[in-house]
Amino acid sequence: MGTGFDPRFGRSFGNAIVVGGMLALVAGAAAADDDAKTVFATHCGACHGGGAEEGGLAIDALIDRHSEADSADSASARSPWLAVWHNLRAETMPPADEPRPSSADRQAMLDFVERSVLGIDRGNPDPGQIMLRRLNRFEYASTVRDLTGLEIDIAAELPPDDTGYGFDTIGEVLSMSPLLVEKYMATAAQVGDAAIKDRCFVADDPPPPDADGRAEWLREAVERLAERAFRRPVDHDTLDRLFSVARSAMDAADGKAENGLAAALTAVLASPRFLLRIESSPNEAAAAPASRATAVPIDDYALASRLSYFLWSSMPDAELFELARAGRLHDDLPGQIDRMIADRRSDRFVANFVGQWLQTRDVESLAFDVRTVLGTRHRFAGERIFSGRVREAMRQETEMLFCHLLRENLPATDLLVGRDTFLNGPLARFYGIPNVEGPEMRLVSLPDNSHRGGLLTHGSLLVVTSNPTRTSPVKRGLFILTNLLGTPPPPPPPDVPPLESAARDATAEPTMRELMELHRRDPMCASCHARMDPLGLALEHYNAVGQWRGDQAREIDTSGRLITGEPFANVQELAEVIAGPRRRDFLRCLTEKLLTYALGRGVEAFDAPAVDTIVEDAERNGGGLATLVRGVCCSVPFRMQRSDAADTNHRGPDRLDTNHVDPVHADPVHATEGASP
Amino acid sequence: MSGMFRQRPLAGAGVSRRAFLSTTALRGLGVSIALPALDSFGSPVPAGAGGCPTRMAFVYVPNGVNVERWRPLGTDRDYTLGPTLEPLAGYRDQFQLISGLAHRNGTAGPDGAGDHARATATILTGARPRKTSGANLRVGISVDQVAAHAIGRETRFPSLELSCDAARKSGGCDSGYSCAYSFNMSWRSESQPATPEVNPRLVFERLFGAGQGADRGRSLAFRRATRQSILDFVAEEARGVRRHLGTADRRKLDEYTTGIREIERQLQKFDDVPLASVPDLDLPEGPPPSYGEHMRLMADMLVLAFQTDSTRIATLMFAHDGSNRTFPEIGVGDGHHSISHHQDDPQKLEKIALVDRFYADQFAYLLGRLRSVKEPDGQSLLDHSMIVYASGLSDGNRHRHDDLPVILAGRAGGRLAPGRHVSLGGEQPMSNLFVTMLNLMGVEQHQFGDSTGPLDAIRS
Repeated sequence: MGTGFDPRFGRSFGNAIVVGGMLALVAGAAAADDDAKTVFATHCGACHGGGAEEGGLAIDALIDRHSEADSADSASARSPWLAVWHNLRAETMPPADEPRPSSADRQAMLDFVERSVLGIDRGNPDPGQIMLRRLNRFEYASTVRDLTGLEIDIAAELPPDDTGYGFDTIGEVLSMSPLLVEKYMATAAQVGDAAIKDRCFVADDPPPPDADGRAEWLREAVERLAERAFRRPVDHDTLDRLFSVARSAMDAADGKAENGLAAALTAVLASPRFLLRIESSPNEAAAAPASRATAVPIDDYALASRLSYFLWSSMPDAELFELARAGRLHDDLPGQIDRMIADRRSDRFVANFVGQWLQTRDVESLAFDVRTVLGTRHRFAGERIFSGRVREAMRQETEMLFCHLLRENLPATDLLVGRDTFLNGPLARFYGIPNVEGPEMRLVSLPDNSHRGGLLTHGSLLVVTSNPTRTSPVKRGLFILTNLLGTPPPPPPPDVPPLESAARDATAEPTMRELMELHRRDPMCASCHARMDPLGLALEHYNAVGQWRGDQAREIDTSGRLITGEPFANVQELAEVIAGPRRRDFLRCLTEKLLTYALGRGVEAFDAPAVDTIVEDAERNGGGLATLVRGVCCSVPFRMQRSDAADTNHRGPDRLDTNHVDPVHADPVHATEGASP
Repeated sequence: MSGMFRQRPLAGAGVSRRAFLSTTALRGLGVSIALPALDSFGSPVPAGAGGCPTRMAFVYVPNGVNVERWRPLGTDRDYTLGPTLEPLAGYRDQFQLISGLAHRNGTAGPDGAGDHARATATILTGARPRKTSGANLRVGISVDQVAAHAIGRETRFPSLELSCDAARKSGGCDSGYSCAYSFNMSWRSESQPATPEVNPRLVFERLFGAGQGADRGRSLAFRRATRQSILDFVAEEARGVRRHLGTADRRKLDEYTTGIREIERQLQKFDDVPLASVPDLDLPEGPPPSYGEHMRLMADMLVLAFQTDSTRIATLMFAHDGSNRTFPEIGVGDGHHSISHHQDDPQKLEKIALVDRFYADQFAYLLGRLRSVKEPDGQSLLDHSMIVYASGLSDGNRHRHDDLPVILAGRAGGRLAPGRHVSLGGEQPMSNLFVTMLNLMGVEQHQFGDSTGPLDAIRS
C-alpha cells in the first residue's frame, strides 16, 4: 500500500475504542492513549489492521484484546506487544520503504505500549531483582589472588562455567554442583597450605612470642581476613567460630599463629559468604521510611562489590571498603569509577566483557582448515600464516582498542570507525600493513589506503564469525545485528525448508551473493535474511581467517542496505552508518550488554528507562566509552534494589534482550552453503 | 597493598600451579601417554552377596549421523553392521543396536528453533527444556541422576560426569537457549545441571589424589583430615546465611549445602576404606590438544572409576550437540555441524561418515578397556555394565529426533541380550529404554521422562 493509511480501517479502529471504552485510565492518559491508537492505525493499519495481519500481527485486534482484558500480565498477551515495542524502538517498523512516522508519532506509540501494556513507569523505575551470584572461575581466581597476594592461577582447576545471555556472570545459570563444592573445599585447603609454605601470607607485624599475645594477634588477623573475604563486616558469632578453627590449628601446630591464620583462610575460602555474592536483604536496606517507591539503594558494601566485580572481576580494595564503611560510596561513585577504570585491574573487565561480547575469547581456540581457506596446498599454511601469534594479536587488538577508548574516554563509536588500532609485527604482516615490527602490541594510526580500520575489519570479528573452511555472511550479519545493533532477527523456522532443488538449479559456479539470493526467494526465509545477509556480505572482502582477499576482492559486490533503509557501498560505509545514523542503536546495544554482564541477569523491558538514561547521558557528553560505563554504574538497576513491598508483587520478566542468536541455524546452509562449492 | 597481607616480592612471584600443589611433584608436559594395562592390578571390588555390581554409563555423540552408513541390514542376530560401525565388529556379541527410539521432546513443538540445544538437553532427561537464555532453567532430572540419587550412596562418588568440550563458545549457543542446555546432559534436578569435568588429570586427582606414589594417598588423606573442622564451620555458615535470603536465593544456597552434605557423607562412609591401589599416571597438565587422545583418556578415567568401584554411574560427552569441531586427525577440515547439514551432498555425507566412524573408534576403545578388566567372578567389567552410545539426532540435516542412533553395550550381569539388532518396528520413547535400565540398576521405577513403559526387548 502506497500511503500506509486506510481511512476505513482508521475509523473502525477509533470506534472500537470509543465503544469499548474499557480502559480504566485517568482522563489525560486515556486521551493520550486514544491519540496513540489513531497513530497506530495511521502507520501500521495498512499491513496490520482491518483484516490484514502480516507476520501474524493484527494491531487493531491486539488493542481490542488489550482493552477488554483486566490486565496484560500473562506472558502470551505481552509477547506480541513486546515485538511491536522492539520494532518501534529500533525503527525496524514501519519498513523503510513505507512512509516513516514523525518522531512524535513514534514516541506516542511507544509511550502507549510502555504505559498501558508493559506497565513501565518512567517516574518510578523498577530496578529488578538480582539473584545470588556464585563467583565464576575467573572471579574466584582473581579474588583469591587479591585476597592473599599469592600469585597463583587456579581458574584452570575449576570446570568451565555455564553461560546465559552470552555471559558467564548470570546468577541463575551459575549453579553450584557438588563437584564444584568439592573443588572449592579442596582448593581452599590447598591455598591455606600454600599460604604457609610460601611464607607470603603474613601480617605486617609478626606474631608476638607470648601465648596470650599470639592469640590476640590471631584474633585480629582473623577478623580482618574475614571482613575482606566476605566483603562486608562480619558478625561476632561467625568471628568466634572462625577464631576457634584458627585457634585449634595454631595449637595443633605447636602454637604457630601463621598456621592458625592459614586454617582460617581455608575456612573462609570454603564459606558460602566467600563463594556467593550475598547482598543485604531488602529488609536491612529499606531502613528508610516506607514510601511508594519501588526502588531503594543497595547498601554501600553491596555497591562496593557490584563495582569491583563489574570493573575488576574481583573483590573491593581497601579504598572501596573505607568508603563503604563510612557510608560514602554512593556519593563518591563517579570518582571511584574513574579510579577503577584507570587501575590495571580493569584489564580483567576488558578481557572478560569484550571476550564474551565480541567473542575474542574464542579467537585462539577456534579450529580452521587454513589450507582450504587460503586455497593452498602448503602443508604448514596454518602454522606459518595464521599462526598462534597472529591469533593472539587479533584477540589483543580488539581488547586493547576497547581498553584504550575506555581509559581515554573516547567515543564508543570509535570502536567502529576510528583509524587507530593496536598491532604488532606478526599481525601487521598478516594484514599487509608495513613498518610495524616486533612482538609488542602498540597503538598504530592506519594509513589512508589501508583496508583496515574499525572493529568490522578486525581479524577477531572476521574469524569468530566464520566456518572452519569459509566465510559465513549469515553468521557475520547475525553478529552485527545481535551484538552491535541490538536488533537480532526472530529465530528461524524450526524446519529448514528444502533447498536441495533450488541449489541444484543454481548456475554452475554461483557466487556467495547469488546463493544467498536464491535462499531468500523462499518467503519463509526472506524477511530475516534480508536483514542479515547484506550486512555479512559487506565483510566478504575478508576471508574466513580475516585476510583481505586482494585482487579477488575487486570482483565482490559488498553494497547493501540496512533494514532501516540506510544504504552502504562497502564495509567502511556500513561502519559509518552504524556509528552515524544508527548510533543510538549501537549505544543502546552496548549498554544492554554492559548491564547484562554487570547485573548478572537478562535485561528486561522494565529496564528500558535505565538504558535510555545511560545512552542519553552519554550522547549529551560526547559519547565516551567511560561515560557509558559510568552511566551503567550509576543506573537504577545497578545501584538500587526492589523494596520489600515492591518485591512481593513484582512483575514477571520480559526479555528486552530478545537474543535469539542462532549461530547454529544461521551457520551453514540453512543458508545457501548447501550449494556452495 | 594495605592491611595485613604483604604482596609477595616480585622476584619470587609466579608460584606455578606445580609449586602451588606442592604434593604434585614432577608432572608430564602434556606428552602423549599410554596407560598401563588396567588389569595389571587387582580389582578391589569384592564380589559381595549380590555378586558384582552393575554399572551404567552414557556416551554422547553430537549432530546425528550419516544414517545410511550407520544403519544395519537385517534384524535380530542375523544382521550386517553398517560401514560406520565396522570398528565395533570385534565386539559384535557385546552390544545390541536399537532402532526406533525417539525423543519427541527434542522436536520443535511450540518452541521453534534450537534443535541442537534440545538434542543434548533431552537425551538423558526425556523432558522438554524450557526455552530461556538464562532465567528459570528447567528441563528434567536425567536418568543417570535418578540412579545416582537411588543407589549412588553405595560408592565414594554417586556419579561421574565427564566432557571433552574443554573450550566453550562465547556468546549465545542455540536460538535463545542458555548454553547450560547445550553443554550438560546430566541434570541433578529439573533446574540444576551436574557440572562435567573436562580435564582428565583433574578427574584422576579427584578419584585417587594428587602427586605420585605414596604422596598421592597422603594428599587425599591430608585433604580429608583438614576437612572436618572446615565442614563444621561452613555448614554453620550456610545456616546463618540462609536466614537472610529470599526463596530464590535459598535454592542456590541449598545447592551448596547439598554439596557439603555429599562431602560429609563421603567422609563418614569411606574415610576408613582404603583407596584402591592405582598406579601413577603421567597425565598431561590440561586437556590434551589431540581430540582423539582426550576422548580416550576420558574413557580411561571412566573405566578406572568403574573398575575401582569409585562410582557405578557415569556420563561422557564426546561433544555437545551443535559442535562445529574439525577433525584434522582424519583429514576432515570442515566443521562437524556445518557438514551435518549435508543437503544430500555426497561429499559432505562422505565426510560425516568419516566423523561417525572416528567417534565409533573411540567407543570401540572404551569397550575394549571395559572388556579387558576382569571382575572377581571371572567375567569382564563390560559384562557387568550397560553402556549407551547415542546421539540426540538421527539425520542432522533435518534435525530428526526420531529413529535415533543408539547402541547398548554390555550384559548387565547376564540380564541383557547383546549380539542383536533390536528393531522396534514402530517408534518408542527413548525413555522406555531408561526405565528398563533403571530397573536393571535396582531402581524400582516404572516411569521416566515421557516413557510409556519398559523396553523389555533388550532383556535376555
